[in-house]
Amino acid sequence: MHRLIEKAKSENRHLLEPEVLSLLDSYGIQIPPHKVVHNEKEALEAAKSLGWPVVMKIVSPDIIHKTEVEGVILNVQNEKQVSDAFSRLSSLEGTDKRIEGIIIYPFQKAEVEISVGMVRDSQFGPVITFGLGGIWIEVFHDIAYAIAPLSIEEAQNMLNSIQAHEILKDFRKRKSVDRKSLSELLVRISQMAVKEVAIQEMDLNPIFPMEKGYFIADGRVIL
Amino acid sequence: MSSQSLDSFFTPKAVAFAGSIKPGKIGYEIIKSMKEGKYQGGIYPINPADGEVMGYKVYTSVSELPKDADLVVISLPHHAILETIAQCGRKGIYAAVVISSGFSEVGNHEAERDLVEEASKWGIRIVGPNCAGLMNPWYNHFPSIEVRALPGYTAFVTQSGALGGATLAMAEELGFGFSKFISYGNRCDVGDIELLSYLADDPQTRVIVLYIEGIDKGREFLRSAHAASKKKPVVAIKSGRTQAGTRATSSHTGTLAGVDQIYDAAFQKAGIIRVEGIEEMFDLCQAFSHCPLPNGNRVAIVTNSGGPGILAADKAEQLGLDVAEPPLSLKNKLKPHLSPHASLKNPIDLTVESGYDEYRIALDCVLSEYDSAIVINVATPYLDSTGIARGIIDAAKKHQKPIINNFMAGRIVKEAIQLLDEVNMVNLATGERGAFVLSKLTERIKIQERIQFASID
Repeated sequence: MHRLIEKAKSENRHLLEPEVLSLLDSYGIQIPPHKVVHNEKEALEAAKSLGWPVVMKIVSPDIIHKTEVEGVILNVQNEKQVSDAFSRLSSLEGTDKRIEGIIIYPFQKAEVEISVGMVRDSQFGPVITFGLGGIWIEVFHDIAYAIAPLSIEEAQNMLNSIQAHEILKDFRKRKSVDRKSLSELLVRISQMAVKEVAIQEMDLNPIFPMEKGYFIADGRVIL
Repeated sequence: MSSQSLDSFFTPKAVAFAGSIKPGKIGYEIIKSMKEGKYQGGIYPINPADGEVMGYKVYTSVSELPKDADLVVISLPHHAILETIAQCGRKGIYAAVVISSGFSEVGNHEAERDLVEEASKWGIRIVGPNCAGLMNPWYNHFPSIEVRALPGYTAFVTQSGALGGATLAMAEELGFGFSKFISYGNRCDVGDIELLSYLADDPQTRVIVLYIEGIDKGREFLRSAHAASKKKPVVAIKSGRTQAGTRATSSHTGTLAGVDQIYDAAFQKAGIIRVEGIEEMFDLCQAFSHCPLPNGNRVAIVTNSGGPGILAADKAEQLGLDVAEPPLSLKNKLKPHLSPHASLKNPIDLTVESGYDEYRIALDCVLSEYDSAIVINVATPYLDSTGIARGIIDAAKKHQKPIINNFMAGRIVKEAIQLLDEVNMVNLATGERGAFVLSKLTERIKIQERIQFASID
């Protein structure tokens, strides 16, 4: 069992976002640059070093869905906005809502959002999902399912089997996404799901496919 | 346990029957079915009341049985079974079909645990309890309460005894045969996993059908089904009830993933072809039993009437088949042999005045160009449909390609369909059903390619 999962289990909580990233990283999955900060000064330094604009999010063991509590602030453009964001996010803290820091990423925009997920089925074990991301996954339910582990061919087949698969190809002057690295992402997630049996569910959503690689903009791992 | 150990269930030397021998009781009816089915081995009824039943000597106990008995069929009340199992163990009978109910299906898990425990103590394998029995029609072996199956090439494994029985009754009407039939009931021992590997190597079985309500040991099932589908097509009828939302979930993935999608993914991984119900199963299994697989997805539709041809073409396209127009060279080849009113697009409409020659030549020509064909004959009472059937049969001989016929309809095509049957050519009630079947034969090729790459731990 991965040490971060062990630690989270012993503390009876799910993985924190920085832990999710670190877990993914240990399975060879590309993670975006990020910094976890605990005060305004650190936040300013982090934003400057990551490059403007940035995204700021709360890191909390008690809050799974951060957006619903306004724990995510996108497109933070300058020092003043960092200070404002920092105090707004800090004010969300409460007795039943611990906040262990603020995580800061470069703000990434993308036309296409996809998602990768996992749910552990009592019969068939880890089931990997691939679909459109953001809110679209819930609107269209355009999701491909496959049982882990995945071979690279099975992963490629997943990319092709969503209804909206055309969006991953050359489309209206936009270049095709990096299908090879997305397939590898699915394979690695599936290998992680087979190995880390304590993980019950996982959402990586949204993921922004890039011309080279991908940008995982949010992730949660449920134990 | 190796699959070899299931042989006693399907090809026993002699069968003992522990149950009532009163007419109308299950025990009696099973013996009757064995007799009427012309089972060649020994039939040994066991009952405290000795004497004879249907001309068979009745044995008062298991210990008295001749040595060659290697299968026992039990229809005793559930509380009387354990003793019989122990006696069979001592006698060296290591296979038992337990028809009796009153076990886990009514919440009596303790009785089922006791049964499993006693059987495993003696090394006895069990099909059942609470099942409709099994059949091996090629061996005249019918230890079951259901309509005796005709010999055929489809192995049917069913979790529901009632659905199994109804399927057999429907199959009898259709003249559809089975290589094996197994109703495993509560699946206390022998189940899908072991049967899949047994049937994958069974020489009479060309296609395996599973009727599944629920699976246990999902990963083992995947491995076994994957290995079986490398050897022959595996078809599953799975009811689509979804339990989405009943699971406690915290992620979106968890919320969205329904049981049904997960079954689809599992079937995909193992290379199992899912069908919606019994009718599709019959259609598909006939084709898997008797048709070669196509080399690609180009289908020609040869017809003598516009409407049904177009319906078949629409369905074929909708299912991803390519209903391409014939190239000019083929049109030129066809033209001199057909009516001047014939339409040489696809569907190729030979028109109503066509008979033996037109069908034979047209089918022969299109099969040189296409991967498969749907041949439709919308008969009129004054036309000889048997001539058309003979034309199709003669053309088909020259090609190793799948052909699905659709002779419509009823009494006036009965004789012609019989001719097709005699040479194992598939005839379905509509061209749309033919399109469905061809799409699945095409899918089977893709599955064979795909499952080579499936990663199964």
